[in-house]
Amino acid sequence: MTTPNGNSFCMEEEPPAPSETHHDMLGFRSDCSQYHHRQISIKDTKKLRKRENKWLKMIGKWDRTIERRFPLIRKRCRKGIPFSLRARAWQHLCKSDNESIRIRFGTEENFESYKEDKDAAYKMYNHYLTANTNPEVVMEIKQDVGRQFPNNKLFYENGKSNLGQESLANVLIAFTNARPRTGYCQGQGPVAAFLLMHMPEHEAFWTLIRICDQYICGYFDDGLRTLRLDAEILMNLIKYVHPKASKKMKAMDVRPAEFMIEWFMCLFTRTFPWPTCERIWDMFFCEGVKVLFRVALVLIKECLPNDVLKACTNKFDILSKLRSPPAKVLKEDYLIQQCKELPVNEYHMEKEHRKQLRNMRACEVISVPQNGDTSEVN
Amino acid sequence: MAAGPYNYSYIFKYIIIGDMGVGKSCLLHQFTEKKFMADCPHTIGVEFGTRIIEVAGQKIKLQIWDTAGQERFRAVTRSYYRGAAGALMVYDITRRTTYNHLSSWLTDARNLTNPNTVIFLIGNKSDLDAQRDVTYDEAKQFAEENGLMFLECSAKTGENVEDAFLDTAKKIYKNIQDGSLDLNAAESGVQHKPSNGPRGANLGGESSGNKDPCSC
Ligand SMILES: Nc1nc2c(ncn2[C@@H]2O[C@H](COP(=O)(O)OP(=O)(O)OP(=O)(O)O)[C@@H](O)[C@H]2O)c(=O)[nH]1
Ligand SMILES: [Mg+2]
Repeated sequence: MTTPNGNSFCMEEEPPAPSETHHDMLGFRSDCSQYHHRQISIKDTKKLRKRENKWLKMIGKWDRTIERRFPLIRKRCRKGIPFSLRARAWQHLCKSDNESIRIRFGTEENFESYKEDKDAAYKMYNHYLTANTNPEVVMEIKQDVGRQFPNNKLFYENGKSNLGQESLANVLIAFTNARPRTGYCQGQGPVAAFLLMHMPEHEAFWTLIRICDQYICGYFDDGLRTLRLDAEILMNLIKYVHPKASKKMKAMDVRPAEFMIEWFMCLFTRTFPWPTCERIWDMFFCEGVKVLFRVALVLIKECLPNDVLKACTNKFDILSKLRSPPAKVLKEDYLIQQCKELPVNEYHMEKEHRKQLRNMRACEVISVPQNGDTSEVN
Repeated sequence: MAAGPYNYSYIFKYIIIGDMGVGKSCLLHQFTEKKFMADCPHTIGVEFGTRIIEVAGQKIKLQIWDTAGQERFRAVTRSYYRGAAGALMVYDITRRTTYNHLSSWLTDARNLTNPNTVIFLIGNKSDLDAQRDVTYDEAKQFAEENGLMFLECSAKTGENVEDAFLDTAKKIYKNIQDGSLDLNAAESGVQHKPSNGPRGANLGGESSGNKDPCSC
């Protein structure tokens, strides 16, 4: 498939098999729900070229731009990063590009010898990849990769597993070696897989590391403490956006874990079609975790308009609605517009954060034994 | 299908537990949709399904929570044991480790549910007999020693899936009939809805909203 805007994104060079199915530019099969064929008009192409130029310039003098003109970068991330530069822009935004990684981690004990090496990021990745891993964890990961995006050509082709599965396993194994305290969490799979649809293995690895170190720190850790905290924060932000839903959800004992874990942990890769997901990630890499809150709040608002809410008679009705968002909100432009218009700002988020953190701490003091959460099993 | 939404007299709450990849979500899907979902993604957090069944002429609505099998999700999934009338504990007959972990799942199930919760052991993937790693007899013995009901099932072919869910319901219903399950007790996992109206008496179960932020 050639793409209308000339951004060819081919996993391999051979011509498509003479079968009925073909794939979109991210590798999704034409007969699956994630498949997305982009139509780009001439006018769009012109706009796209302009944007690409702007981004090229910014990336060219990145450090200065990010220091002095962050609002400009933010604005451009909200408009969407051009596909051809997306991977590079993401890496610059989260500082997972080769140079940043070399500088940040080159000082670590194991990596002294790479300090001045141009390929430091690649070599450090290989160091982690080839380190000793608990064979049980390796088995767990290998068994899991087969279940990741089976409709995508990167991972499956003609019913057989494809190269991407090995890359995915590698990234996840290297991650557990690099961050043994966090270890392997199934939620990392979709995130790493989505990264691999955009960039090669070692870059996906470092970007995953940066996401976990800097953005959603602690989401994947045993006990899921940060995630549970964010769950409570989200639950309490609903009242600013959709007070009726907030009330009803509380009255029916809907718990945030029942709908938000997959959203937040997988950074919405399992919720939205990929073009929308990319736009969310564009903002996420720039603005951080509050983007996840905004998207979640828009989803709740759009899944539970007043008439729908009224018809819900129990928590399962509400959860079903939250699981099947209306088509309109799955579209990138609509979703992002709604995110901008939300009546929630940083002040609200920080206030809730402080409040829930206090609650959680108080609660942990009371029930320490129950919250041991971890241990005992093998 | 003239059955209205309230055309049932009981709600039973179930939970499905067991190691990752043993087929919990596939079993639930097979039971609610009568289809095998080969491409099932892993469960991140919790999912649910419902179906109305009939036991001894009574319509019963099953509310089934399907939990993530990976160890670290237990921090979240543990709060779903509370108030379950039935617990389906699943292992994979082709993977011994999933069987070896049963005792830890059972400990959780016993500690976090009420004493009357019916625990049903399922050996899944019985269609893969050639790759069997756990014999029927030893699992049967384990079940007997621990007072569990037991069947080998296949979410793929559907073999015994219906029976596992229904036998659990029958046992719960029997416990109600002979008085060993007290519907008035909090967390019995059963709600009784007199069939004459939509808002039946709520006897325990869902209503006891837990507002503590540590058990989301
Ligand atoms: N042959 C066979 N395969 C099965 C059967 N049940 C499930 N599977 C396969 O086993 C894998 C895991 O199934 P799931 O239902 O997702 O497992 P799970 O227990 O829900 O896993 P987690 O959500 O990760 O805890 C899938 O690839 C299924 O296709 C079965 O009865 N027979
Ligand atoms: Mg599952």
